[in-house]
Amino acid sequence: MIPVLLGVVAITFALAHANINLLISEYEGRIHTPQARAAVLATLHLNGPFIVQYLYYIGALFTGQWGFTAPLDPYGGGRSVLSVFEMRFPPTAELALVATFITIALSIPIGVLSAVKKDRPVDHATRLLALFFVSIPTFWFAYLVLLAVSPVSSLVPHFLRLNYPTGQINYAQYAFVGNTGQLQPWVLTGQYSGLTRPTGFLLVDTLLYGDIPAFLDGLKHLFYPAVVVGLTSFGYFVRFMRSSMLETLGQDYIRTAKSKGIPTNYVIKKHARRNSFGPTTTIMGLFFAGLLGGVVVVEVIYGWPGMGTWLYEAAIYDDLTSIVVTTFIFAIVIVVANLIVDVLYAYLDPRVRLE
Amino acid sequence: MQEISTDKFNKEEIVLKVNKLKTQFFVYDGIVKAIEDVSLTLHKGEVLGIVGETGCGKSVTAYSITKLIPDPPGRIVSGQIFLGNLNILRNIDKEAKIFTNRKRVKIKRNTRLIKRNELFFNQIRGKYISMIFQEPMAALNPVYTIEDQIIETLVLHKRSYILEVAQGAAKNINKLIKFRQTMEEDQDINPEKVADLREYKPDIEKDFEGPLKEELFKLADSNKGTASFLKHLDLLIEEGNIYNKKPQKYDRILNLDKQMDNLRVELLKETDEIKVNSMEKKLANYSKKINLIKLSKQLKRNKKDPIILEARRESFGLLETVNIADAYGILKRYPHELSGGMLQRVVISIALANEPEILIADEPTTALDVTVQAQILEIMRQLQKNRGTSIILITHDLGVIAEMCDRVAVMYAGNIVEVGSVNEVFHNPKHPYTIGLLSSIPRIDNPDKKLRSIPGTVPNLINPPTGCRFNPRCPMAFEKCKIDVPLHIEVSPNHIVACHLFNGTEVSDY
Amino acid sequence: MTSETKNIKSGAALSRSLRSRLESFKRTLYFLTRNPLAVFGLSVTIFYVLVAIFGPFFVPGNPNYMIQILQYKGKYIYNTPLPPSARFPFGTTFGGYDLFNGIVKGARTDVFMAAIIVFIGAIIGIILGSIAGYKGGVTDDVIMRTTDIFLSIPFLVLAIAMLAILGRTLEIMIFAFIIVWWPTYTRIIRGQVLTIRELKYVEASKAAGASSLRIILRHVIPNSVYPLFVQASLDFGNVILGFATLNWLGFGYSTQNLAEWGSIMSLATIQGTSAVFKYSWTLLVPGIVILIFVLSLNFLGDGLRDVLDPRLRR
Repeated sequence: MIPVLLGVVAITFALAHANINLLISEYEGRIHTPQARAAVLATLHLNGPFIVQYLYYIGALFTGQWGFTAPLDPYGGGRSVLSVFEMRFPPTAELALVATFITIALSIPIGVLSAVKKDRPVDHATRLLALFFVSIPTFWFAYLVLLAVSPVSSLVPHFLRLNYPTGQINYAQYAFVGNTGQLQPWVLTGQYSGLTRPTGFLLVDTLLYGDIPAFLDGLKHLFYPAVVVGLTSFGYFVRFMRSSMLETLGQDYIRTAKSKGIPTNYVIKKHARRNSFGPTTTIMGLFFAGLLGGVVVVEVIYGWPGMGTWLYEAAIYDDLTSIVVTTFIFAIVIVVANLIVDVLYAYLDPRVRLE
Repeated sequence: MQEISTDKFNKEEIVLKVNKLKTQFFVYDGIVKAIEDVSLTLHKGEVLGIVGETGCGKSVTAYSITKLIPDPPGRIVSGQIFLGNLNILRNIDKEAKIFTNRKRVKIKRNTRLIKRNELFFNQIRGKYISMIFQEPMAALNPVYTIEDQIIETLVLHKRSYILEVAQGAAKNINKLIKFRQTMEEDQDINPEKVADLREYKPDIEKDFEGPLKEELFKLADSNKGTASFLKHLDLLIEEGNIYNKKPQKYDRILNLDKQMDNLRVELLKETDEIKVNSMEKKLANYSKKINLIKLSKQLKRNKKDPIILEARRESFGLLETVNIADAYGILKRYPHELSGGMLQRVVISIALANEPEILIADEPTTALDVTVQAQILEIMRQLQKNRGTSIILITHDLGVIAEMCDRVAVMYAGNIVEVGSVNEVFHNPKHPYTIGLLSSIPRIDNPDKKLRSIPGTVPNLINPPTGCRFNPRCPMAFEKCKIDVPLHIEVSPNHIVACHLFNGTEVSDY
Repeated sequence: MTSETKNIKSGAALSRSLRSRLESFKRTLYFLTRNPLAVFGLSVTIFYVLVAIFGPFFVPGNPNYMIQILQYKGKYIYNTPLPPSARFPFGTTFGGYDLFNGIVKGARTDVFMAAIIVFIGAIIGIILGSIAGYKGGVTDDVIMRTTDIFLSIPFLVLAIAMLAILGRTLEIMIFAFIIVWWPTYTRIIRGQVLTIRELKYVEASKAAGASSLRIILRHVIPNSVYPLFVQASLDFGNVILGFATLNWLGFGYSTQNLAEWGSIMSLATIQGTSAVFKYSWTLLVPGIVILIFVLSLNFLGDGLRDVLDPRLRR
């Protein structure tokens, strides 16, 4: 894992320092004097050897000194990137996790069924459906869902706002008022002090505070983005599940189990399923990267205030620091996900465990 | 080499009678007529070998007997298999309708009937007929422990017996403790008695009864040493204690299990549709209680349940009977930690766990090296002698046949071409194929330096040769061979050949 | 053996291997035709490729840019797309662009881009993969770690980042794609090489004294190329999707009138969501075009995989 981490850092470093002028102008802000430029060069050690720059970069990256947003940033230039990250990360995390959950919850039973009833109508339907979801452009699908649903349903995730009794509230700026010691409804930031946001996750926070209507509202808004991302990933995942299951079913120990007189449904549930999870977990790491890509697109289309829209806006407004940080975070998340997946695999397959 | 008597089994009881079995595989290229009108008889306690080249249909026959033919693409088209007096291949022709029109073959399956027959056959597999396969390294599920996979089959078929032993241990716990004490003391006081554990049998007879007595007898007979016996006793005492904590609960479960057992036995004999329906429903409801996944989890957590403890103890005993060192330690291990020979022994112990009447071994030693092969065969022979299990041994190795089998059937291209005692067939082969097969074995003492083989290759079973399937390669073939399928004729007592070189009437009992 | 006979023998061997190669190709084709979906995929793909190559010749205007028609029958159609009709088979879109015209030209843009990317990625994959698989040891480790690193960054994220920082040009786009795609091919080839180099005939070649390069070129690569074909045909579709996505987001090298399926679709949303509703074909038509193409590519790839895989197993 360590070399991959270093490699990822190296890539982001290369990105950050590829366009030196952009980097410098970012840190300069609105002051374009030679002294300012010299100051920036000194701070970033840009005059020194590569290694120094790299080490400084690593240091800054891991201590949270992520710089400030660009002057043209629509929300006001000069905000600390770290604070923007705190605000933007939870929504993306929520979306990604719920979408992953949907994918897995759909793929496993359908994949197993498709394999067990190979070449029957269920199998063909599943394969066609999976291919369909894989072939459809994510943004087009997202948009279509938006179009199809908005005139009809109230579950419109158009922009992530809570439909609170007093009116729409921007999700990205929700908070609880904590200093009254009592349960308080969601309020707009800036009006009160002593705001608390325990985890930053809308769904978790509302549960923690017991605010069920807000929780359900959050779910309503989360529904369509998560479903779109979930379905596109389902297309990939269910095919892996199916082929893994098919391979497992062809193994000798399935034959042994049947010869013991175990009823078929138990052969599948106990012997086949557990063994087909192993290879699929190794795929999950790769697939998660694809899922995050889909998350970015869906966020932009549905106006979901997460890392995806942040990256998009940053790219439009040439906000170098934000871009670098976003890329880095996405990569780290995938590395961590791969690590978790490896541990999961060791748990599932005793052959892999270290003695 | 073992002395084999030729006519021992004529008057013995017949445990399995296969009658005109026909299995076919429906693939894109056509219909593979894998086995055609195969009939076999298996007597109690005998070892019947099936020998032939690769692709001759030996494995297909074995899988047909246990109904393990994968349904697409294969089907047992017709035939009967009598286990005792019962045809276990009931309604086989009603299971599917096969339409053969011009190009493609369509199969319409009666899924309900197939499911019902599966339920029925699951009572037989593992209990009356067991199978072991070729690759021991792949035969066991790698993610579950050894004990899990042995206990699985015990709990599936022998649950009431297991509980009864535990109940016996519970009721006689004091006697068990005393017995254990005596044995332990005897180690120092009475070493001669301890040397042969069978000396304890009269004591066991006096104190115990029922399944517990049977188990103790088994332990005494197997004579695996005092340490092992003491460990067994420890385990029994522990079970008894656990049972005594909630005796009513376990008594209730035991009663239910016994009822279900009776139901199962009746189901096998019942032919009345309505009664069969209700019985199957009751059984299905009951089977839901045997949750194999929950069982795995309980095993992992080492749950203290008398069924689990007793099943574990019996697995321990089973591993001992197949001569595995440190049997109790092996239980918690995973298959990849054991060698091929050990795994094959585990597989054999699983197959024999429920004391089946018939064991089908499909090339059990082909994947093992010669020394291990000898050990495995020795174990099989011992177990067969001790328990009277009948074995169908499938192999292409004539040496194994000579060593292990009482009778042998020679198969070619889906037909049985010759059957008889090993002595007869080996010393007096009649069918040209058998003769060719035997003469192709290289011998050191043969002055003929050239290696002989049967010219030609195994025929395509989608379009097999007309008449006798061996005729294209047969050196003695004549006109009739291409036209008529040869009848099975008895050329000498209990020696049957299917070849036009011999005249006679068709025999059905072979 | 004289050099003459050597040449003759190797020449004979070569023609034999070519013949067997042709045989297996014919067999592959035969099996493929038995799969109706694959046949559909193959025919539609061929159709699209033909349109991509020859289409722009038969359609008015610069082959890379869409035609802009500001007035039609006396009305300004800049903000009012026209529905499909005889004059405009797919209708027009916001900005007054003829959709049919644009889509045909877009086929060329997309298909050519995908072809370049997949081809270069495959070449890199073959080279690096065979080196990694054959040499093993440290080289293998280094190459594998590098693939791990690049597979840890989502394609879209890296592409957006690169385009934003390094500039929105065609070259950067191609570079971004290749950077993300080469690891997959490298891994596939490496896996194949690992299996093949254990095969007996490779050992035999070595024993006969052939050099490593010769073994790699003549034995290893030709046999490891099959899964690559499968992956390439599946990837073709993915590359097109990614490319369209980037253009739709506005990060491509496109100007407003560039003929590319993604940017054509982005035009549809220019006036906001409610407008799209009213002029639905502006979004639906290009989308369906992409969908059918990628779907056919996937059918083809799946069919290829079904055909090639079980053979490989034996």
